[in-house]
Amino acid sequence: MSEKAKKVAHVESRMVVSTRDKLVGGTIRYIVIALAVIFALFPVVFIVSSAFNPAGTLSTQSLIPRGVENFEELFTNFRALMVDELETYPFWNWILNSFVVASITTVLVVLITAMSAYSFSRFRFYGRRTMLLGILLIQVFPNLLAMVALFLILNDIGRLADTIPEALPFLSFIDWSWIKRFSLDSIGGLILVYMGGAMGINTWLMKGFFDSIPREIDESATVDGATHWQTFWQLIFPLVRPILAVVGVLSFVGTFNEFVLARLVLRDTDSWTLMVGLFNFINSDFNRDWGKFAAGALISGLPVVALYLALQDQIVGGLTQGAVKG
Amino acid sequence: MLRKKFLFTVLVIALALGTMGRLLAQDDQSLLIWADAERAVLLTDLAPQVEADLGITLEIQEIGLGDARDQLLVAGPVGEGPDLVIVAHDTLGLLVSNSAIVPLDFAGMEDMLFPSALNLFTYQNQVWGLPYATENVALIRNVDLVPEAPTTWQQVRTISEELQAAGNQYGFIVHTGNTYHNFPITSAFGGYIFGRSEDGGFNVADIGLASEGGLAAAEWLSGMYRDGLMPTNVNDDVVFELFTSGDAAMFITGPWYSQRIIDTGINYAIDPIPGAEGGLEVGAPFSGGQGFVISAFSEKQLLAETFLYDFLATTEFMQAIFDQGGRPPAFVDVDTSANPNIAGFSAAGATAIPMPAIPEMGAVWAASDSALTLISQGEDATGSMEIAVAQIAEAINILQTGAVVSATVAGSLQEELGCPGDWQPECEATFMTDSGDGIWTATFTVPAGDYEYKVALNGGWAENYGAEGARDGANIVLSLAADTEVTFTFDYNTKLITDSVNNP
Amino acid sequence: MSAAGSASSPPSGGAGLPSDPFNLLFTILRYAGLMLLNALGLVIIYGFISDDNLSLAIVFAVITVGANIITFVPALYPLRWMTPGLMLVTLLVIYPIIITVVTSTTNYNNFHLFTKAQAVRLLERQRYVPEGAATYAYQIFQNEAGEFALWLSREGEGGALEVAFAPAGAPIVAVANPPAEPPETYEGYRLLAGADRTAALTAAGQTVFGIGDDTAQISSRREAARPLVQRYVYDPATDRLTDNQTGTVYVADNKTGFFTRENSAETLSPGFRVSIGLDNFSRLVSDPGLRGPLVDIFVWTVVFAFLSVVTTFAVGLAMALVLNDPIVRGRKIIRSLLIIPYAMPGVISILVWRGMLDQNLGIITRTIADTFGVQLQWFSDPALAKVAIIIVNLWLGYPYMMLVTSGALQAIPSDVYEAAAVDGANPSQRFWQITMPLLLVTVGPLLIASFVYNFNNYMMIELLTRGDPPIPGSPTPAGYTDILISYTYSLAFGSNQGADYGYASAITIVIFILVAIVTLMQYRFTRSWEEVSENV
Repeated sequence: MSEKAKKVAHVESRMVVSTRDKLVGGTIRYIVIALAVIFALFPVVFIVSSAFNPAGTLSTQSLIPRGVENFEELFTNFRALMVDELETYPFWNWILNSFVVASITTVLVVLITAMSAYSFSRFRFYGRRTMLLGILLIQVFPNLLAMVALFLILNDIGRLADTIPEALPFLSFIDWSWIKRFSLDSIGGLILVYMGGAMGINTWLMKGFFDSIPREIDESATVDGATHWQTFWQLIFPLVRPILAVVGVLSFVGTFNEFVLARLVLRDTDSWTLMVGLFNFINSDFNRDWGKFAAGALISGLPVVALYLALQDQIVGGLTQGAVKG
Repeated sequence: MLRKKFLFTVLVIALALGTMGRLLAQDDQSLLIWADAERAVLLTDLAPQVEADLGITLEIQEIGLGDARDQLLVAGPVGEGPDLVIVAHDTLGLLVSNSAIVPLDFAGMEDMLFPSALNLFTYQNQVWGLPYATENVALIRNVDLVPEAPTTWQQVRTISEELQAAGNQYGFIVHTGNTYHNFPITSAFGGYIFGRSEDGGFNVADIGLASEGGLAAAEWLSGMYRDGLMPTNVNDDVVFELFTSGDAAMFITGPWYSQRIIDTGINYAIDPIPGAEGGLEVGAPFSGGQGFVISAFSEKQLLAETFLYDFLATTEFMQAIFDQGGRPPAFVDVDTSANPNIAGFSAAGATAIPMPAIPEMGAVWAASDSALTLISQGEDATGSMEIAVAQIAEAINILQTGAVVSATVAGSLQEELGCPGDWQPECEATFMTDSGDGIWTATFTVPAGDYEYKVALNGGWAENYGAEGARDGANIVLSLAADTEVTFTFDYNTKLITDSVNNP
Repeated sequence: MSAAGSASSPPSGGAGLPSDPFNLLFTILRYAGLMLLNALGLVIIYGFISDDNLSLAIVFAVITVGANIITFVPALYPLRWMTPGLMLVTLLVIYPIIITVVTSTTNYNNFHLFTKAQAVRLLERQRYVPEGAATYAYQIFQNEAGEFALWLSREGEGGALEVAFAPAGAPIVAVANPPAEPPETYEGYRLLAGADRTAALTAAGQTVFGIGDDTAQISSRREAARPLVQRYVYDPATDRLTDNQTGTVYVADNKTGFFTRENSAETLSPGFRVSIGLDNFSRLVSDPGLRGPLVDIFVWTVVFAFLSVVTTFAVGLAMALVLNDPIVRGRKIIRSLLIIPYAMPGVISILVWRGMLDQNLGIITRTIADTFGVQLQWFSDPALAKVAIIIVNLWLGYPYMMLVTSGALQAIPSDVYEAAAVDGANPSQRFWQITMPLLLVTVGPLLIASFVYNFNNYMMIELLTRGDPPIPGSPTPAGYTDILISYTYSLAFGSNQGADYGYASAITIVIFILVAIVTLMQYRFTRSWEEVSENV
């Protein structure tokens, strides 16, 4: 089996390039990379400078509005966020909530979509293409209006905590209040909503990736007497780590930065996620606190970049290695 | 390797379950309040005091001013809503028409509140909220560049020309394409949004953006842009940057920028809005306000009322809310001396016009904003405003009517014409025929007698027209000495109803 | 295909390898899990039914039954893998879509927000003090059993104090020679004050005091009325609402969603939601907004979505390829730097871009003006505004494409390249003939999804340009950079007050149909992509 896995080796190691090509190509590459990095970071510099701007505007004029001599003042917003806000807002709660929501959603989404994608990739069954198409189509439904429906679903689920013991008194020995943990104003409810929304396109992405892994690998395993589950869990799962990592990052970033649904579901300040809290700084017609928002945005960007750094080896390279280990 | 990861997963899930959802303590003496960020902080701070004084436990949830109305209408009916909410005054129209809030009674407290503030929270002759702050824009002036306050917009133009000639960039700047900030100019020249009807309400058929005054204001703006005296594409940030750098001498803003104006370090003055030659003496800004309302969905209205009258509607609380928010207060006795800008904004607000809280206002913003932007880009001022008025009229039409599917001659003659009863808009026997272009006709042979009728649209009374084309207007009298063939005509464009007897 | 055939034969209910203890354990676990799911499902369904919530009961029934069918029908073995996903999608994606479809046939708007039951409940809560009723100041009393009573006092005829004591559920009696202030205790009841009174206020406010014809109720924080009467009474049999105060009868007009006074145009607020069939769709067809620049807006929407996909994909792929090359030093760091735009919340990124492009002060505008002497009118010039949107969207979107393509490139087997190298293919041939087709297998559907996402990218347009610059002379306000969804939603929602959910739902469905057609057309290509992969 490792023989076969080795076929799926990394592209870069086998590229055959001449020395001259390398030199020219290398120079061009560095120029392209430099341009790309400037393009990528230029606006970020502005976000940093707004974060350091105590006036609370999205400054349009200069990178560092107050000059270097006022250096200590530049940190007002960070201080405001980290110290002052702690007195009025459970800022650390928000960070923890965001982290918990994004982590759990990511782990579950990756697991659930990987299983669905495996099925779509490896089995041929009646209605398969219709289902794939269906997944794509429900994904393209403009969902601006789904919000009211989601609000009502979670609310109605929450009511069950009261109606079940009333309607079925013989079951009232169970504490049904756990249902409230999947209702409005709960992180569980928010995770549910996110998971529902994340299924579609990730399934497609993974399925495409599974498709490109040679079938002989699972066939030989099946011949050896492994069940589908064993093949999936022990063979394929490790092999597709790059795409699991990609889906993981996508899902983590998506949930970490989402605030429209979170704002709808989470009411209590304690249960807010970071983005809901940050959005609140700018959610008024006039008194927008851009400085704090920008500072918070930078903080919220850190875990995402860190996660990417951690998973980069999984995403790029390391495929052969993964197969051997698996 | 895998096992370790699995353990990690379990750990994360366990951690999450520990912090997930908590049950709120709901009992009879607790009130749930939705407040915007600043007021939420204040109320949270004051909650222990409320509990000690009144025995009421406060639960505060932060909901932005912009969201409060819509969220109340979704969450309220399913029992998830608050008992009290902070809203902006212009949400009243919708909240009242959905019976989402309850009326309040400030009898005996009138002298405590500024009439203008109470007025903002009055809708259909009833008070619906307890205002705590009002706001309106004023003219901010760099005293070093413009030592004397201009009294007309014509003077503003002259000052702009002089300053530009002297090497300063702009004498006056205003948010581009922003109806709210441009309205004081419109009003100074005699323009308006909606005219007033006799009963004191708004006459939405009379749109004043393209009135003589409205057009004069548009022409003034157009001239300023055309001659390079005002920059285009100006937003909040630009206004401020230009004022701070001294590149703009005057601009229009409200008390929400109080602190930022002080922070610029510029020697400034807050002036009333200039008037206009041939217009008003002083320009009138819109006034707006924020206040507390009690949800009609609340089971604890009595408790909410107690809290509202005994704690919120006191000078002490209003002082606290002022000290924190810095907007002109709604209560007379609040001491504003700590904030030097309040007097200026209040003076500019003396002539302010309450921003209409009627639903039709929703049709105005986009159209008017577009016209103002187009004027800044050099499009014809008169033409742009006339188009905006046409767009608003069209949108109001849709808001009020929707599509016309059927029109019925409904009245006391219906039973004679084969309907099961009179005054039945759903009766198909007296349906009119669509002859195209919004003209509906019907011809019936009506027995002799005296009748009254109206025209009802879409099989119901929700939209109907009576005498002189008035919506919900008076019944039209039809007197027939003998059996007569009568042709009824309804013109949807003019809403006029004619019949071959009254209008031969 | 023979491989696929063998893979799809389902194992017979876990009996494949009985010697494997794990397998047996798995089977047991699966059925135990199913039983638990069924039990919970039944309880939840029953709970919803008893809460009069039929629609969610049906959804959960579908989910529960579906899970059982999937488990017990061997032919559905492949679906077992998707069970959790299908359950979530049914509840949280498909059901909301169905609700949107249903909403599109109703008059659900700002004047008809509530269901009829909710509207009736709101109306029936209203109370009034009938003519001739006496109003009193009141104090609340409570006895040991927790029952409430009211101490009612008013100025009687001639200025004398007139007091009545009104216990809940017992006759109201006049208090002879009343004291000026209520006593601390009275007939076993204790006067409530301070926090006790506060705690009792809500319950007492809902209590009817007295009995039979003579009752009293608290009407406001200051007054109690004797009696206080429910204003509106709804009779479900005749579908009519009677106003007890005026005697007026209102008939439920189930066509317009109002209670309407008989023989008059007078309606009661609030209205309620009713089905209006396809009226929202016919309104959409006759909407004057659609006589406007709809064609231009549609073309721009397609161009915008297409260019967004092409630019982000091209740049993302280029970066992924460049950074795949081991000769580039510091790749890890560079990749992490390039991913930063994706880590920033979109709201702030778009607004920062707007600031940088600002026509008066934006750093980009000023730099270009200083260097080339051209003052670019980013937001006043239609063409430039469109360019700005594409650039900003590229910035926001390329890291996603870079991520996805980096991952997908890993799946391309290297022996294909080796074979190509032997055949003498140059790098460009290798890229177009090998890399691209294989890459499209994985990311093809993502490109479609990205197209569709941008087709409906409301937030981008709203935050960056708000659709500006405006199109002069349009019958409804519209801008050159408006896309279909931003334009039509502004028709449905106005700017502030006119939210019309029914109409917006109808618009949503029409847009969905448009997008679905585009998707289906593109989907045909994925069939060929998939075939490519099966030949690998």
